[in-house]
Amino acid sequence: MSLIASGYLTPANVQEVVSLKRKLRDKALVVAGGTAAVQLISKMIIEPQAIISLEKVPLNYVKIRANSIEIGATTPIARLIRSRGLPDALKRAAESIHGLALKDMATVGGNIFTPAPAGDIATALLALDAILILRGGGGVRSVPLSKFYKGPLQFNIRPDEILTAVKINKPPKHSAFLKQTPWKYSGPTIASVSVSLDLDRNGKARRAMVALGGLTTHPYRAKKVEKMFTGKKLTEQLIDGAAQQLTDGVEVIDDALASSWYRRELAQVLFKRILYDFISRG
Amino acid sequence: MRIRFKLDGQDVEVDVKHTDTLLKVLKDKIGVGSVNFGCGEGSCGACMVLINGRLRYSCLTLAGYVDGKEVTTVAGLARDGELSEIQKAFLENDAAQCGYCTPGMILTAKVLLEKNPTPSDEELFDALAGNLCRCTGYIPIINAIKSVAKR
Amino acid sequence: MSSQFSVVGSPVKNVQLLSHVTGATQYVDEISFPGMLWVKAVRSPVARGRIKKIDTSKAEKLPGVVRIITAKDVPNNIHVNMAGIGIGPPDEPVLPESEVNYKGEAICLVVAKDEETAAKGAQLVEVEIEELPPVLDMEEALKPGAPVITKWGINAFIYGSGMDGATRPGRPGRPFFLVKRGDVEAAFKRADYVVEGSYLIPPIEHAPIEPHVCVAKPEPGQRLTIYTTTQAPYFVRDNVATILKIPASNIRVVAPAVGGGFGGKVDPEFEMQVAVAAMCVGRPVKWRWTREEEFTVSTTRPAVKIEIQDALSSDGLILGRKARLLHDSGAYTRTSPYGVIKATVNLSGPYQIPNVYYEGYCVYTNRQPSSAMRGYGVFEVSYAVELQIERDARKLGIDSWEFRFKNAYKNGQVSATGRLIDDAYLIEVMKEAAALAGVSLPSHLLQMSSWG
Repeated sequence: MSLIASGYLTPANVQEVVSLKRKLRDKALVVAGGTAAVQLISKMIIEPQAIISLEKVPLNYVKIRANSIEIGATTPIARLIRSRGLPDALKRAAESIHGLALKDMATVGGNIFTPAPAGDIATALLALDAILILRGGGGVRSVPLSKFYKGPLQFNIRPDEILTAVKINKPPKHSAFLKQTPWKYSGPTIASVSVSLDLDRNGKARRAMVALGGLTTHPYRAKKVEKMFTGKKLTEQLIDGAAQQLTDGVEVIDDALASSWYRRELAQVLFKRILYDFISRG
Repeated sequence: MRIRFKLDGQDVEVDVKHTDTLLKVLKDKIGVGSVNFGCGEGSCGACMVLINGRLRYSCLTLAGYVDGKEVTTVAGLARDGELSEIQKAFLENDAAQCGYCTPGMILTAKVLLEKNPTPSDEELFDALAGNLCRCTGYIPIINAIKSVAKR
Repeated sequence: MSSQFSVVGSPVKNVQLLSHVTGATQYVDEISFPGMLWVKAVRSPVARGRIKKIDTSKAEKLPGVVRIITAKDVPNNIHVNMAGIGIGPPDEPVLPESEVNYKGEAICLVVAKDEETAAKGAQLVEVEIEELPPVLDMEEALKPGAPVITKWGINAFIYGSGMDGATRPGRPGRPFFLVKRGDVEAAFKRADYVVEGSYLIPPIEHAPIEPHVCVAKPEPGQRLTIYTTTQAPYFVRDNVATILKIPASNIRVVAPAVGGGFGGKVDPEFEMQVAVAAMCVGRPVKWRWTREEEFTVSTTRPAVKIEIQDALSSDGLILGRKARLLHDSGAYTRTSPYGVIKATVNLSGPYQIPNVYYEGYCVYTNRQPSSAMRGYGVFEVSYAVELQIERDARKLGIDSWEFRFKNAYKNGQVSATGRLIDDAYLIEVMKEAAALAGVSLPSHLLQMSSWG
């Protein structure tokens, strides 16, 4: 562990990270790709006494098994694009992150913590019902991503814990992701929608998961819509009806990027595009 | 703390704080001219560098990260006084006006062509999405990169 | 073309290209001196307010903070901007004494050993402000009873009164710039059709990739060298000289390569503040704006509202035009009265309109001051005029190419401001444009010329 006295700490493995976190707790900032974390420092939002850099921790991996997928927390977005066998939603979300440098710097784990108008990977992972693997002083803990967000920039993670991996059990057969930015090839996310589906033999939805990003600080699942779909055959009528419920009871961001009305309308359009495309393919 | 790294082939030693960004160290401590401050949040690409050959926004990279590594800016691309192919292409295609975004554009083009020597338009636009230019309208830049891809 | 001329029509190589592609071009941000200090501003959190108290005690105690500069440190606290060339009045303080007029206006400056310390120091300055109701909309600003934010009692520049420092002073003037020709009322009485249009152009940020950055270095004998990213070094020199009360010949302005300007680096916006700071501490001082400051504090193209009424004859001529133009100057004058004149005299566009009545208002609101941007004054008007031309043609049921050819200025005619037209080329340009766009024009238009 070099540079220990300096405040820039480069632990070699997860155990070392956990022991540093136990000692330093909130006084240290964990940095992986840096794309979100470093701005917290340069914009003077926080002034950490130490940096715990994950650059040497071996968490850059994608493991695809028969019935599950595990992705290490420091895996860069670019690796998701190169990897074969990942769900479409995750691939599309990875491709939508703008520019060569950002794709190679930003990590899967970091994206989970990054608020709107970023955090597209988290939206896709949420629709894939991903589980987060956290390691801390108390051992390993699995937290579904759907139970990870407690509020704006508030997470279900303890001060001595670190996110080590993201797991997708029983990856859904069908998944998709769409997002809208102000201009074509880059820019902040105005709204993103990700949908995962498993159908039974009769073409009825056995499992439907719908996640929306960009509308609130962190992505959320549209549980009401999921219930509407479960056990049903998807029709235009059902999709249109469900679209109306996407933002039901949700306080949608209203800012310079887009009004809350626009974001709500956009979410419906993206949602319908995904599902119309799906049913048109039979 | 003191870090040591190679900057465009030369050894550099500099005292930094754990919270200093690489951009801040390159500009304000070392005085590097081939890296520019534009936004400080990874949107414009004017500050891009290669770290061990990988494209990085220096404004989003902490200085501690480059300890023991090799940092390359556009000033380090020429070999024995001869411009690299991509630099020549930018020169021939008038792919710069004010020049402020040019270092980042050239580094992005270089990395793109290393990974994908014949990018489609779509791949080219997507790769350049992390670099902003306010003068050229991008067309000469795209022409320059395409001219190298064709060779 | 290229056969007739040696320069026109032939490409010219950008002389800086080689240094651009090798990263050798020198911008202001590379300029540094031993012992150099850094500046950050404490900025107004409100659009309009009265400064009750500035408490710098906590900031002063921060190690590394060298000096805090307020209005009383400024020898002549007036931003003269372009008063020297007849664009005034100089109504903007270098640092405000008692009131702020836009969100982000610099209230005081913190000079410190490095950028980070200056920023921290600025966070520690406590400013007590009594918030006042702001005026943010141009129409609201012109209404009687609106809060008045200028010193002359009306939220508009008064043309002809001499307040710009160039025209004869002491006359009553008008709160708008007037262009009048022919008998517009008679034209409207004669008209077969009247077409109205209202056009809004939002403020536009220049957004150069290089934010504003300046280094000021005091030299022996009340001299000063200013290195700044500017499109107008002489404006900087004259402003700073007036503000520091030293001869302009004591100031050397060095303008290295500019990383994009687009008009946004014409106004001296912060050089005088850096210069004051440098003179106060007697050391080189640097200020590099953040991207956020670039967007929220630097000038923008003005927001403009244009209302046009055209009197048309059924045979396709514009008999007369009435127009009212509102130009949002923001909180202070800067270059806006000049921009309004440019805009108002161009309200005919490149078309022959014999009877006109145009009012151009330079309106003050509690927004960041606006200023020049590519085609200052003319761009906004061209947008409105060309849309209006399309509307006119649609009303008349004729092709808009035909309508434009028919009403285009021809040599020998007289413009709205009384100038004899001797350089009209619109018809020739439209023919070229149509060919490039693949539009085939009818032969009677192709036979037309700007000469006859």
